[in-house]
Amino acid sequence: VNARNGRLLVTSDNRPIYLGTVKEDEYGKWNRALAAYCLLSNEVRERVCLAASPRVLAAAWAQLYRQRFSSEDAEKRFVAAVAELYQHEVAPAGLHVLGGVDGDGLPRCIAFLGLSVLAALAMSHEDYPAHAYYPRLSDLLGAGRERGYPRGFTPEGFKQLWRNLRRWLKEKHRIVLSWPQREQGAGHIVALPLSHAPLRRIDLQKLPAFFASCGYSPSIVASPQKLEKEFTLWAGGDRLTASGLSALKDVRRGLVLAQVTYELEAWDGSVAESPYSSWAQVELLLDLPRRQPQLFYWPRRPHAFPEFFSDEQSNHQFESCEEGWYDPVPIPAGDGPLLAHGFEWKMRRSSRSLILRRSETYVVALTPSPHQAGFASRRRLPHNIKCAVLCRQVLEAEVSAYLRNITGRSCASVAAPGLPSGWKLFLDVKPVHPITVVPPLLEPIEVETDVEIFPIGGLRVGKRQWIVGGPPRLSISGANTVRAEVSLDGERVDLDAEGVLLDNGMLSTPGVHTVVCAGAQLRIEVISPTFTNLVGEREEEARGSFVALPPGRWTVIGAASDELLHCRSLAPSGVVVRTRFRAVWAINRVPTVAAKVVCVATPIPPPAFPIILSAAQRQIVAQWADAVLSSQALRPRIGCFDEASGSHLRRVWGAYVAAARGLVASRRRSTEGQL
Amino acid sequence: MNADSLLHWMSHLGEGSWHRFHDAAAWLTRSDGGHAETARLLRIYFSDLGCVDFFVAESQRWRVRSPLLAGLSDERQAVLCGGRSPMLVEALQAAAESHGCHFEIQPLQHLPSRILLEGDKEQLAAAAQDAHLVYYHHFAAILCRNLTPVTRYVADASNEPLIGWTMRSFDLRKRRWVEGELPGTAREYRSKFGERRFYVCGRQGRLRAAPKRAAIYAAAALQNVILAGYDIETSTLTVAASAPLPETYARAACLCTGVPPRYEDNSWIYEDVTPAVAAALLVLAGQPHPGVPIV
Repeated sequence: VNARNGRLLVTSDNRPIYLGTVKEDEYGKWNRALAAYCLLSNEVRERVCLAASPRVLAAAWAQLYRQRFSSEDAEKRFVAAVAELYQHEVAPAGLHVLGGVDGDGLPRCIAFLGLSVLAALAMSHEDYPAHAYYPRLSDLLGAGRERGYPRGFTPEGFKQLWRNLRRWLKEKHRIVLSWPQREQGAGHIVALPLSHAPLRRIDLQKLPAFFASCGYSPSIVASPQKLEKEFTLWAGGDRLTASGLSALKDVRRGLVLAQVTYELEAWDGSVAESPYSSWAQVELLLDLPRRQPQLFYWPRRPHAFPEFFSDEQSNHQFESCEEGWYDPVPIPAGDGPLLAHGFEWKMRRSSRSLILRRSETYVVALTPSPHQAGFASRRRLPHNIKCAVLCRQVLEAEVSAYLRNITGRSCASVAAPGLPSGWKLFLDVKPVHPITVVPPLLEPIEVETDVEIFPIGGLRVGKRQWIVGGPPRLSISGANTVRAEVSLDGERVDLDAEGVLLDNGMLSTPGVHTVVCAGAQLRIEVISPTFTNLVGEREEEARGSFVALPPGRWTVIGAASDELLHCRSLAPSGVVVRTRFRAVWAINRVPTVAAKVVCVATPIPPPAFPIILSAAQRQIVAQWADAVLSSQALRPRIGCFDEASGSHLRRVWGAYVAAARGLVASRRRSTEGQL
Repeated sequence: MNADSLLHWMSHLGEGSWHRFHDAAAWLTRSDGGHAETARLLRIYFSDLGCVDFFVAESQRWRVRSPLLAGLSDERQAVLCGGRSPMLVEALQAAAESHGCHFEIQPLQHLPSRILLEGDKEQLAAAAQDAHLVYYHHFAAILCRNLTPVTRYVADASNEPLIGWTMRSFDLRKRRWVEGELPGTAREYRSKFGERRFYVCGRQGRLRAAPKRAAIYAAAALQNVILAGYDIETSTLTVAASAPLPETYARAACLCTGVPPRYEDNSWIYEDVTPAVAAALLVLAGQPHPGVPIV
């Protein structure tokens, strides 16, 4: 029984335990974040893993709470939250206190089990022997050890928590949780978290290099077949540790690939070269306003990179207004050689070297971008999708011949003044005949034959979220798409000649939509828009008055006879007057053909007299009366900004004149009385 | 093209980059070319209607303004201003109807719908409160109070000309940007990477940084050149299209009626602008005072 709110916990043997203070909800927040990201996301997965690596933790928190931590910080916060709860609630009472569901209806054990996976990731690493799982788990939980286990931990209770989670996922969501082959025998308890972490931390750290080398993009869904093929090829050397490589080769292969998929989805685009240096790719972007090509540098912006990136040596500056990317910057015509030979732009931040990089380039495939209008650089040309190709001028003939082969029609470069010098551009390249043997220099424009579904355009608000009224176009590429059946939410749909899915308005309705084509699947979500992060700025409703007057010398008066301000315009345009009191009349002290008295208040209040006046106020009152009477002596023209007040303006002005005369008379009587 | 969807999308995000807005506008208009012009026009309208601030703090960022109920120069009318969502509009409709206000959604071509409420000042305020909005009576006049004169936008310190940047000058007589260097006017410097900076070139030839529109008006004030005027009879404020009012000024003019300006004869024409608001805008922009109607 969990009585957390009352800070009283009752154990299974009815032993009451009074608990210390737990920072409420930090654990619950991580529980929700991991559940949403790893277990209940919209991604299409055969089975789900609780792949709680530092990178996944950061991405999970960012997805739910829109706050991005570095992987290191995310790990620290996660461990602290779980450890705190464990020390205060689980260690004294046992693992069964995590057995229930929380206020959101989620099993409370998810974050704890996530930490058990995190402990598994560190095996064969750091200061622990190869199979020392429990010491590592104990250290993370910080609750001490009893009989070789963390205090409060029992293998049976641990297994029960995993079983509970598996049952809950199956019954409530029809989702299959990764599960080890063996359920009995020595080590089968440790196999539970290990089945979610077949690749250890040391292998996970190498994955960004794989993603970058294969041209993967953060937040892009990779087809499982393609990922498997390329990862197997990449890992074939000695890139993975022995344990990672054996996992890839044995029955755990599916788990390894699932883990790689999680890591790719959580990847922010940075590749660490050392603890002090990391780099990100500079992509190219092609925009075609009025069919006039414009090329841009379009660098990725990983989390650790600053909002403003400035390379002082080359004077390149980038600003980021969107997560994951710097804003595109036009490529000057003179940057042709730079583009050809590659470049690195560096800046230092907190003793780390941050690098934006593009390597030597001969030819670039430019494909429709899911992030921006236009075409973005990408590895390989998708089959049956209209793309563009940029190549060095020296390769023009060779590229043209190759494109003729893959498109089945002649391809000529376009003349465009905005292109970098020494480069040629081919537009409307639609590959339909893939070639198996491609010259090495043209490998970047090899035709990708695997089926891929990619969303283009629309009003995107999240990784795979769009709002109602702006769903994306779904393009399907691949050699088999012509003959393959395409279904949307289980219903068969057609493709147009460009390979775009005809959704019959189905994507206009809110909800999760699933597209399936020849083994490839994509889920997107269409949501109703709400408000986010709107800054609550209140306009100042200033007291007093604000009025713009024509050029001249003005006396502005209020209804009270001690409210007066002299002003004059220095500019020929006029003068803006701001008074602390409510201005009623503006009196021009220099007679002109224009209005001499201007009413500036609506409605016009009657004149008012303060009863008790200081000496200074009496002087102002005298000026007030003088301003009104001297103006009246010249039979003023009266103006007003508000037409509605015009009819009775003279009558009210008359009341002010009478008031001024009364003031003068009373002042005279007062002076005579003193004499 | 559904500008309501665009505004809903922006409101959901809260803020974003100019490029992203540009792409979204292009997507909605489904234009193969010319979307730069569409995005530019939408930017002007969204800014003028008080929905979105663009180029916040001279960055490439836009930010959606908080929703509010803006009282118009017709005291019985108010419009929904700032960000919005379908739920907010529904809530406002329910609140308006419960307080006896007339509620109307007026579709505008290529623009977000005009959400209009009509009622007494007290009714409008109560409806706004129920929908968790702030109501401002005669919002344009409040905006005017908080405007900064264009001359104050101009930096105090002078700058050296930027070397290696291309340059254009605003020809105050022809009312358009021309290539090259003209004295005593606004200048635009553009780097090879597309970055743009604006300056006012004083009579001594010194450059002082200023936002684009303010730079033009500051230069016009120095040279006594008229770029905008007000007709008291028709209550119309006319502004040279090539020299639009600074963004906050244009917003005040627009929110007298909650209707964006119309384009005619190379001019932006704001209708039903009150004389007091027009006088404030023109004087603060360094343009001649339009005069005061004589009773």
